[in-house]
Amino acid sequence: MTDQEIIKQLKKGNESCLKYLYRHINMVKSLILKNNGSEDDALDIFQEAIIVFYKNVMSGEYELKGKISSYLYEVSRRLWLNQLNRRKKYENPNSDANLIEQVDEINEKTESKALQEYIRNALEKLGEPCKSLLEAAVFLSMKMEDIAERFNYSGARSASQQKLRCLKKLREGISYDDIIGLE
Amino acid sequence: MQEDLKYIELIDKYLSGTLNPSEKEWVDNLLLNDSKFVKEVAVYKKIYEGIERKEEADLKKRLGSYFEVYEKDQKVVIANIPKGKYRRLFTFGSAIAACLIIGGSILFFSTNKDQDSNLNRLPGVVDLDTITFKKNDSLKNPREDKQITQEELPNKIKDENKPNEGLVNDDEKQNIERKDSTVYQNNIDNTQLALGGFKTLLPNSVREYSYSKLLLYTFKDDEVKIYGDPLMSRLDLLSIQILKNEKLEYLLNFKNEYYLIKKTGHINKLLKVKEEKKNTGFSTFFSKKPKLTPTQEEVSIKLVGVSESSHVLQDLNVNYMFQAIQNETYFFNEKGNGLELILNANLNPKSAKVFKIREEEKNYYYLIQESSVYELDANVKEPKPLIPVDVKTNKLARLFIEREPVKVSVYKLD
Repeated sequence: MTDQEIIKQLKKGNESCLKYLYRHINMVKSLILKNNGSEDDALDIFQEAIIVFYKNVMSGEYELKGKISSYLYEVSRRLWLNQLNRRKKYENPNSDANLIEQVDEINEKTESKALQEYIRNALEKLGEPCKSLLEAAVFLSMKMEDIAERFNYSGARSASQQKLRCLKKLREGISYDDIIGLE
Repeated sequence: MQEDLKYIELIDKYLSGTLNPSEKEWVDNLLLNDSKFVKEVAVYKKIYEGIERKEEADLKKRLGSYFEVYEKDQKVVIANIPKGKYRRLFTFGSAIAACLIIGGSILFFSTNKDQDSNLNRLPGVVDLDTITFKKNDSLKNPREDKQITQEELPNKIKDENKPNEGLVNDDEKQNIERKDSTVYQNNIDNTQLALGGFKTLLPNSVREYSYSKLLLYTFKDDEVKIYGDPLMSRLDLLSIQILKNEKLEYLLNFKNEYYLIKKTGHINKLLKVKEEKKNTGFSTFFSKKPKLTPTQEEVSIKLVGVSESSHVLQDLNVNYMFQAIQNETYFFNEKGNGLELILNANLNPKSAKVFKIREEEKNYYYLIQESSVYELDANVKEPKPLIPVDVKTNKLARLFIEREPVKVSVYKLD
């Protein structure tokens, strides 16, 4: 599958062709293995790079100028540098700030897990097409024209209206106290 | 209702940073004065964050399964296609392999053609087993399946030889009557094996030889080729005398036996001349010590080696690994009706030969590589080291010693 075809398929909603991107994993693997990382780190970083790529393709920010492989490599490299910087901070033993940050991160993770599950339930109750529409609009930041095309609305405007209705419906199933309590 | 949606739109635009200046002013105002609006913004912020995190987690899960699919796909092709920097090497390698196979087959089939035409011309070299002892002693050409009648022997001598003169025993006759077909059957798996890392030795190099003491000859252009008993020593060879009688017939004297030889390119049995018969034209010479005078004529005598007098073996496939290795090994496999010999050795495919020697209903296998002779045991099913045999002590291995022809003078019988 060529780079162009992958992008075309992704825009059509054929998410599973992301699997073709894994053929580029080896160069990221060798980069990370050479720079204090493990195979698992490489897989995690590469996966995050794919997500960045996917979101950018869907939001229309990604333009095919170079090769997808170079893009993924560059994103992976930056993600890994960030990761290494974060690790360096944690490795510094005489810093109290460290401990606080670590605790914060753990808290953040558990919280986000709770928030995730809360929203998951709310979205399930909401049902289709609102669930998918909100995921496409919020997570993938898809343009309204593209959403209209995928969900068969007459145009960007009617897709926007649909999105707002879905948000309103979702909001109705959510209690302020519950969701703020998750903060 | 409409108002609700308008608020939601403002919040959505605010959170995504897409407010226009007038909307921004409005929102700033609301954030300062409307606590309900502030609460709503906080709720939607949470909702967006929740959707993002939930979606990212779900996508990661899906990516994990895509990765599994990718890995599975890789495993299917992994045996054949190396990744990364070896991929190009593999591509070139495949191209080279394809060229070798095509080139090899062209070479192989054109060589076959040559052999065909040789066979049709029927020179001095004919496989031992092509001879059938029919009434008029004919040679069978296995390819065209028509008989080439041999020159008639003089009747008198033929009559004399009707009783078994001891040169041929019945067993050997049976062997000889077995028809030979030179169809190459052991090249079937050539291509497959070449791709699997093994190569098949050319069918021409896998030969069978039935060891017998039966003597055969051709006599052409002052060269006598003796087939049979390659274990004859050089001394034996040197002791051969060629005589010529007044009828200009040639006689060969070997170990005090006399054989009549005729000028022929076809393989003939060496027929002993019997003393009792008086009407051979040699009677005087048998009754008393013949008087011999050397002539200017010279004849070279060549003992035909195994490689020339053997024929292609059909029921043995020889496959070898084409690589340089230190511990050379071999083993046999049962394969269909025949055998398969696997050689893990650094063979020179051009010169290496494998022989099956039949002696008294037993089969012996030999590998000839460069100047070394290896005896192979057909019962070996596990890789066994290849160790050269001592040609001096192994009787059958001596078959493979190539001997120079000997030049002898022709003596005239007075």
